[in-house]
Amino acid sequence: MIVETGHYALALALAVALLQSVLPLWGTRSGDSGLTSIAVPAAITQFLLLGYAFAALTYAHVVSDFSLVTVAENSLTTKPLVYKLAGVWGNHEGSMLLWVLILAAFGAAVAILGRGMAKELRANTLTVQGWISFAFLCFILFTSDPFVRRFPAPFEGQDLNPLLQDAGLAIHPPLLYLGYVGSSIVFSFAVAALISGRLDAAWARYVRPWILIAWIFLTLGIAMGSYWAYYTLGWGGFWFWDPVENASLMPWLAGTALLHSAAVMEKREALKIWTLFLAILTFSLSLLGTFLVRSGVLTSVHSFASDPTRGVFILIILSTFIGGSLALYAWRAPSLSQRGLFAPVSRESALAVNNLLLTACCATVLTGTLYPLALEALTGDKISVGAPFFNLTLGPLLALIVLLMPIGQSLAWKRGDLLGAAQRATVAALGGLVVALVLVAVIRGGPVLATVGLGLAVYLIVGSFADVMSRIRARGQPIRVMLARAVGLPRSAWGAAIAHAGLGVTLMGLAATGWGVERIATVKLGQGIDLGPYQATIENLQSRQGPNYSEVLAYTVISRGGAAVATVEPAKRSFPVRQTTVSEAGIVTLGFGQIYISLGDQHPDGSIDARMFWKPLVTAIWIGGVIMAFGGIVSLSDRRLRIGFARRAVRVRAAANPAAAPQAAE
Amino acid sequence: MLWAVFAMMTFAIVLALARSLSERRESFGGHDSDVAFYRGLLAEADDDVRCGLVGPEDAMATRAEIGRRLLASLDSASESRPHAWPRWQPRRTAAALAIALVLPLVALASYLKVGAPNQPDMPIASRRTGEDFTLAAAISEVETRLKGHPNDGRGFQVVAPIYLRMGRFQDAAHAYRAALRLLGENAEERASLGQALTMAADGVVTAEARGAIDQALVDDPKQPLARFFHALAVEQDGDTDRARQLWEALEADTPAGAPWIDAVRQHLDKSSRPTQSKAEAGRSRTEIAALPPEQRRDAIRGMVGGLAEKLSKDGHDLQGWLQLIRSYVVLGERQKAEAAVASARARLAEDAQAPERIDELVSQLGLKR
Repeated sequence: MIVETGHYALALALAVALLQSVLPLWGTRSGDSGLTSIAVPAAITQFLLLGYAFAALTYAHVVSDFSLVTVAENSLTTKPLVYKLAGVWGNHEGSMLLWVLILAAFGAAVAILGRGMAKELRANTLTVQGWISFAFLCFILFTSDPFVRRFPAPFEGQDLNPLLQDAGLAIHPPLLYLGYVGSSIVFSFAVAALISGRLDAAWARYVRPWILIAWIFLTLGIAMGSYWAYYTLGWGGFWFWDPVENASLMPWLAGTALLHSAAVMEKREALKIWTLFLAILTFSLSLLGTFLVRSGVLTSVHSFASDPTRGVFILIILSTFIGGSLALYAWRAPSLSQRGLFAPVSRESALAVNNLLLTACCATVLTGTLYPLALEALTGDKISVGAPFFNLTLGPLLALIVLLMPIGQSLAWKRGDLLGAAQRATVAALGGLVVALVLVAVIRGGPVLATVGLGLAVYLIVGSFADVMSRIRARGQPIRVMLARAVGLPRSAWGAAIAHAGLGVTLMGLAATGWGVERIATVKLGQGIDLGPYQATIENLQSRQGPNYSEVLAYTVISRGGAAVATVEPAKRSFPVRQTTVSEAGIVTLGFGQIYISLGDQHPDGSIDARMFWKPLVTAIWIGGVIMAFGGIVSLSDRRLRIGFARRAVRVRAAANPAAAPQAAE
Repeated sequence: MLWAVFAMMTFAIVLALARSLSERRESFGGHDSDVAFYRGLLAEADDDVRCGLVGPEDAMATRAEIGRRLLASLDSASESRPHAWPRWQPRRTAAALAIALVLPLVALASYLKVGAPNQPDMPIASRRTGEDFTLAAAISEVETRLKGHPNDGRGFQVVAPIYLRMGRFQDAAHAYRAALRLLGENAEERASLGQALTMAADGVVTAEARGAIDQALVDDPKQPLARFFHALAVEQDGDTDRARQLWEALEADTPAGAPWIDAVRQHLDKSSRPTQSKAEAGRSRTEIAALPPEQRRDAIRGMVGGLAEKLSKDGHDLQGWLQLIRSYVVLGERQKAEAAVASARARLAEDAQAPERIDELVSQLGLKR
């Protein structure tokens, strides 16, 4: 009965979404608060209903109820519990249910946390949320229902795709979805503003935490996904410019631009229309990402979800929401008052430049992702746009962004002092240059790009904190005062510094790939292979039986200068039910670098093909992602909306009376 | 019970939504929330001055700017707000109707389209008592053993029929081959290999399957399984007369109560019934299979249509009805299948055996009762 009540809860949620998408809007249009306030219980009940439906599906997976087609196709009685749980969203139907559940969770959060918001804005936002929810619930119930039953029920399932049987998968999709779907709430806010015609600093205040939340989850989701690809696919790469990866990168780039333009709107009430456009763009790209993954247009590592017939339905949703919101934007945006001219040298214009560069990056990725598809559709030619294209086009853009980041960060609002900002950045630039030169001196003839990259990374990390340091440091002040200032500094300033430094850390990891060592060889047992400063020796091969697979693993000893430092056990697993073999990479972290070994075919003479890598500083790539997300969290904890204070005249007075004048803040 | 739970869930939702309708009319408080918001900003500006992060003069300018924004936002708020309230509230009546009627109807209609309200939960633990389950549990043990001892013919012999029952036909074929290779020739297993290969090919006796069956018949001409699939192969080749002779011979040799007797009788009925028109009867299964997909579907539809027409004239044919229901399901026309179930029950009211057989088929095919 749990299964069928869960199924009914899904249908009931559809009906609630229908009412939620009509009644509150009617209320705000006609000025009836009784109708508008329906939005709140509707959003909350919808979340409860979908939560119940999801719990019911989870129950079915846990108890192996094979009368459900999705369970029979993706589960197995002997599968470990954690993968039974991960299997709930490791397939198309379940992951779509997770998608709407998260959508409803965001809706309920706005309903509950938005008590201080203007009622009209809240009601309109929840209405738009209701539209999205309704569209996706229709999609789920009528094309990809996770509760479809089949009788007679089989006695054993077909097991989850072995590539997906992994702890990373248990976390990666929910995180990414939290990011994708989080952007939906920002979109709803934007459309609500277009409907009501009111767009002010208060709007920016309400929407800012949601932008941050979505961005944090998207950042973590992408980092997680990249790490997952790194250690399950067995190729040693962490980013493949795979269309599905690009699909998650695009909303991230647009979302990052949005985060910065929303800051301008908050502080200076400028860039309003542009911010709205970015909000719509971010969600559109998220939808596009969902479409690309779910429609089967693309074949990639994520192709476990391909089914062209569903693609048509998602295409309709996609064109309705993107086309509809852009039409509304074209119609209503000119009527919104645009305010806030700004000086060419100021933090807001630096942020505008940042927005231009980020959207240019986003457009580049979009072109690189969709051009091959369009070309294939039009002419039938299959081309593949890969790493060389993206490296050549995005590399310079990214370098420019990184160069400008510390300078923009230390410019003041309204009216900045370019020279001063440049001076502050000089320290950082010097630091970067010194590191680059030292590296060139130490490893002469090494890869040039890697050296430059590492120098840039150091420049960015040092520069990120230059602004914060200049604000808390004052000549002749005791440490105590500096600490008090550091604590009193708005958390958003700390958050920005940390997040920027995070990007620097990631850049460091990326640059260090230039010093990596790769060996692809047929290895005899006991034969040592040199990997940078280390040596890897496969001692023996063993067979082992897992719960739903059997594996051959290579016991490998890593040594440095003759002394063993670690052991790894890369393995090849075969899953009998799915009749597939998966290479389980052996990874050992030494410092910030990693030794990565993945096995190939076994030969009759006892030797085995293996890919072995030494990747210095590779973990910095993901640590940087986590630091960025942490910066976002710090920034989120500062919920005050600040007006941009001008730094004018302070310098003059400070010179006249150095002891009394506080060094102006933001 | 289930419907009572559904009713309670619906009722709770209706109540939660309808409660807001009883709320008194009031303005949106656009004013209030804006005033509160900008007051908050003023307070924050004061805090900053107190912490020494902002100079007092900058704070003055800031306060002035906040004040300007507040005024601007109040202007835009008052523009968009309507003023007069009518006395009668048709809007609320309409909303109440939407909540009380549209909500349950939409929920129920969409559930009935996709749901299976009569089906209980089937957690694997509650099915452990069945004979099938113990087989499924046994299989993993044997599999593990066979990994270590790939020359254990007995193991393959044990596991093969279980695979067959579980629907893992390729695995079954593989296991039968291994058992035959390791333990030597055995007519029954050779025939079972033919069965597994046939089932793996969706019921078509392939050349490979035919080879296994013929081999089994050479070893033991009386082997019933081999004879069954031999007859099926002949039938699929379109030689209806020869197939009927084979089915009759097999039926005659089959002891009463043998599990395959029903299947034999079904084929016998089919081959001896002159239901199909001459043109269609001439089309054997293999011929139909050779047609392009569109025409093949049409041909099958034609045959099914003929059967339906015949049954509508003379409805006292249980086998015919069962075949019709099954065919509709195969063609993906579940609604027609369900309609056929209903008319079969009506037309076969006197047949004591009919309700049971129909129920069995219905639950097998997962149709609505």
